[in-house]
Amino acid sequence: MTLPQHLDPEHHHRLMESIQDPVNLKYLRRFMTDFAKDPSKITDKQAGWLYEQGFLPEKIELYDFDTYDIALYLSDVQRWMTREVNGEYSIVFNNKILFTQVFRNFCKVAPITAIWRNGRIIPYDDVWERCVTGQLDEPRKFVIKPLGGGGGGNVYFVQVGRKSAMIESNEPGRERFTLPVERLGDIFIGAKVPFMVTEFIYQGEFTKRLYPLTVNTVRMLIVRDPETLLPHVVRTVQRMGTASSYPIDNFSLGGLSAEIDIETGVLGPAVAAAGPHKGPRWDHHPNTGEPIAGQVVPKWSTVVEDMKSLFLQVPYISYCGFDLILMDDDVVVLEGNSYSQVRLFQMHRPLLPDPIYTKVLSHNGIFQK
Amino acid sequence: MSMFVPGGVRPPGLFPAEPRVIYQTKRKNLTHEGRIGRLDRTETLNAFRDFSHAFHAHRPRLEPELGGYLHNHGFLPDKGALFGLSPELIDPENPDEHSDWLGQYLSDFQAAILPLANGRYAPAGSNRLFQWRLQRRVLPLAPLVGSRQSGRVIRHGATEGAILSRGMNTGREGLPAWHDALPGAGTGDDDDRVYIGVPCGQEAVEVTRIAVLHDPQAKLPFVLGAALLTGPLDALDAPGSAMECRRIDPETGMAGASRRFERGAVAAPETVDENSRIVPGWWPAVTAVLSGLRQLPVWAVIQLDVIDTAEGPMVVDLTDRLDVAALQLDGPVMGAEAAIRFVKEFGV
Amino acid sequence: MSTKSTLPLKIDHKSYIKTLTGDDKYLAWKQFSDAFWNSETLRSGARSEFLFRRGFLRDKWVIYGFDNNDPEYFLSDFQAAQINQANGIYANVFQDRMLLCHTLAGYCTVPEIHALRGLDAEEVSLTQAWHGHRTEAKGPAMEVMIQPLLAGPRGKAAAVRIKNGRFEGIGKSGDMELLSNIVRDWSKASRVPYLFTQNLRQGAFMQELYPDTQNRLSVILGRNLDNWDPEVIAATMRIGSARSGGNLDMVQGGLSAPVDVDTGLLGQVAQVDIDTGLSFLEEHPDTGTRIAGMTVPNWDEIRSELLRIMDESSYMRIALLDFTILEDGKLGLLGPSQLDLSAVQVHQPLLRKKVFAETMRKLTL
Repeated sequence: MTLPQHLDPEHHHRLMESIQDPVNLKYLRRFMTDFAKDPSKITDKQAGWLYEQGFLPEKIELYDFDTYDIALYLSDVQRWMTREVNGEYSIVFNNKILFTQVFRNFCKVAPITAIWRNGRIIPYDDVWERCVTGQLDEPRKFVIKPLGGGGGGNVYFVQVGRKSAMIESNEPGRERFTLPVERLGDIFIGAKVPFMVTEFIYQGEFTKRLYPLTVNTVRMLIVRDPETLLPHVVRTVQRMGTASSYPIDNFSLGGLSAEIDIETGVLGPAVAAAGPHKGPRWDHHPNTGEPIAGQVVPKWSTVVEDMKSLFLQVPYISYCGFDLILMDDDVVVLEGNSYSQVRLFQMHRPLLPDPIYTKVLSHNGIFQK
Repeated sequence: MSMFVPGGVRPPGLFPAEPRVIYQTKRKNLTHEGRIGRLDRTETLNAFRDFSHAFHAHRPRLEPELGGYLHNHGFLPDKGALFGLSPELIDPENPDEHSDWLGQYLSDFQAAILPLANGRYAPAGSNRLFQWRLQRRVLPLAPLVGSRQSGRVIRHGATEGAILSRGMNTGREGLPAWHDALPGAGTGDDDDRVYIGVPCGQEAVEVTRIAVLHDPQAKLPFVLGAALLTGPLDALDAPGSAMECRRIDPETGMAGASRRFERGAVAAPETVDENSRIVPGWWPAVTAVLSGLRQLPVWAVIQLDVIDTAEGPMVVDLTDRLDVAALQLDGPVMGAEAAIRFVKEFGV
Repeated sequence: MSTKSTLPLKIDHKSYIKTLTGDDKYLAWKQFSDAFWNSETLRSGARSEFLFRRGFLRDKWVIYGFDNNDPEYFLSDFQAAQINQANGIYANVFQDRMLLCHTLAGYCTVPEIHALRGLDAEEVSLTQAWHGHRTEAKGPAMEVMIQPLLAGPRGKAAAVRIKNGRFEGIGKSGDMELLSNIVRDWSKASRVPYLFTQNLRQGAFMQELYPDTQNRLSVILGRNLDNWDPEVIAATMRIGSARSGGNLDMVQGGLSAPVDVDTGLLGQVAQVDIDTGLSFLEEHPDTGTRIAGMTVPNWDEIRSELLRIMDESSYMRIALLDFTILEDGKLGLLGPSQLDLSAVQVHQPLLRKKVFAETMRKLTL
């Protein structure tokens, strides 16, 4: 693939040399320390080539540098620098309460049941009280996760009945346990950060079929053109859980990612970045055999249009990787990632051929023209 | 009790009215990983970038486990084998203990930012011409014969012995061998130089290398560590040069076992002589150095090379870059109380 | 609120100002200094120096009655300009008018946001109605506020009426293109984005206070930093007058009546005249409407809604907000409070409020 006109073959080198402000120097430091301990097997020559251009050694395996020029890929240093695109407004995504307060105006979000903070529960309605007093009419499912930060750590799935609650989590040593409902608050014992309790969202048939044991979310990368202020969908992937990522679909923990064609909603083959399924491109789910490549996301064009009109309403945000749960008739915006991981996109193909995307990056000093 | 200060009274106000704190440190945390994690200024972050470039330029690359461990604690690849540092020493049950122990070693990155503690004098700390002019009245310096700046040679005096030609800037051919790995580095013929008269030629001589820090509590300089190096004067710090080195106990002036090592090589030092011995001229050297530094208390960090001559000690080099390798072949130097006070005071 | 228990919390402004460090604080001090020397009152003398060294603007000698009152219980103008820093990384949430509207839309009526004029970017239509006015020169009649996106000293506010693609107001009339160009110039001049929003119409109660201006219920919300419980620290009704026009600042002639946070009862109306000093009235000086003794309708509901805002926005430590009360008796958001705290402190110095003083102290503001 020849380089598009807006890409200089040396832009990675020039960016690495030009970084001078403390904020970006800190990202460079992060890159350098991660680089030093990356266990990927690479040659000395590859190490020099990647290091000078801001890519971690793991990318030798994950990206297809034989087919695509490295200049077409967003580097690891650039990806960290995307943290600054939303500036002070990244709090809208980093604080899940604020996220809910804002986005519930424009789309469906997971409703907050309660917040746990400073040792006390702040109920948002009467559901928590009914849970702990055994007054639920029927069993209900909740998700409990830390208020701040991204990543999938410390997530609890709680099935609450009249007498007891069954909890599953990805916390080592507490994978599955039960509590009497009146002691539901024990989940928070020893917690040092605030937690949020939200209603569990049941996914629609399409994504459930892909892998029924996890909620399989769509990650959609949207940016705002700095001149027209209009939204632009850069890339979309369908994530799927696997036996190794259970109970979530986290890509870093062995989940799969399949690109969704933005125009048609057709899924491509899936890849994994970690775990037993890393390496091949999967046309079928490796655990269930369910077809992936060629499947069409139902009502896809509506999903894209709805997300664009949502993004139009929040102009203080310029860059976001949204996590969506596709229901049968609707979409729930689960969360937004202010500096989305990009390897789940770029393992399929590089991001920088997109000129609007690079315009956003260069507007924010992340891309050297 | 008033303290006797050889050579006179410290001029008031010279030390350290201006801010020299490199960054705000949580004073309990003196570990290398904490130090690197807290960097927040362009100057120090750029120093880390230079360090990291040098580390990653090293070939062959270390295994990621050892490489990550050394790099992320601020040590260049040679220090693993040289000091016997390894991630295998970490007790998984008590990793903090290892961090505290490792924190007693002066790291290569720490040595690179240490000169910032010299405050407004920091830019001149590695300039030999400046050092010679500033210190000539208070230290027994080898005579400055001449200098060359921007191609123009200036004669400063005459000498009877050999003339040692050195780069003007100790930072380059001085301690951090990794500087040579940086783009644009090198000691070409066009470099600015100083010429110093010394009573020896190209042969190997014994040089006493003394690292001195400022003790913020006593407000006096103290000897952080010292080593007796044997090698030609102009090759003590050159990358790849091999030399013998003994650690000197500053309290007694006794030099320990002699170890042979090669600058920058990933190899354990070889012991060539187990026996300790007295360092000739140690006490006159230390007295001369400390009394001189007390009279002109400009430097919070300085390292001096002294040779023993018939007329007494002679300082043949001065730099703000401490010799991480030679000073610590037989153990760390930053564990002393005064060194900890220094790090707390200046945040390096 | 007990004043005795707060006695140890009084602030030595002079020492505080001596301890300032950091670029932000120096910039804030410079801004305060500019404002201080630009003001017309108390041109010189010991009182002027007294105020400057403590971070108070010169008009405060009269407004706060420092002949009789201890200045160390009053939040200084310098401190007031920094209150929002108490919210740390969340400082923008209640300062950015757009984000504020989005955040509070679940609790009260917020103005509809019609369009945004980005800094060095195009104007974006955010409602169908605005789009219609701009592209097809047709659409419903609307009353629109044009304000800088961020609350603060930069930029200006104006109200216009729009009908069928034409506007009227700011001393002009014309098509939407003209309005867009005018606001683009404002944006370029003050380096801030501008927002076009619905101009909420005040209800009968607010109208009765003074009919010719948009009167404001200014509230200060805080929380007990030990148990995180929310609290309405102060509520003040700011009322226009013939002298003030739309600007409700006290020195411009704006009036201020305290609202009892437990009962919603309005107290005496404070009025400032720099020449004659501070006076307290039972009635509006222009209309004769008796204000002292009126009660804010639905106060219990309003108060619990204010507390809910703070309780659920648990990331905020302090919030200064302006509301109107709509015809249906509910809160309508006007925006972030202008930081004219004299309207609050003429009735009671803020540092006598325990939760407020503790917040200021803990955050070393």
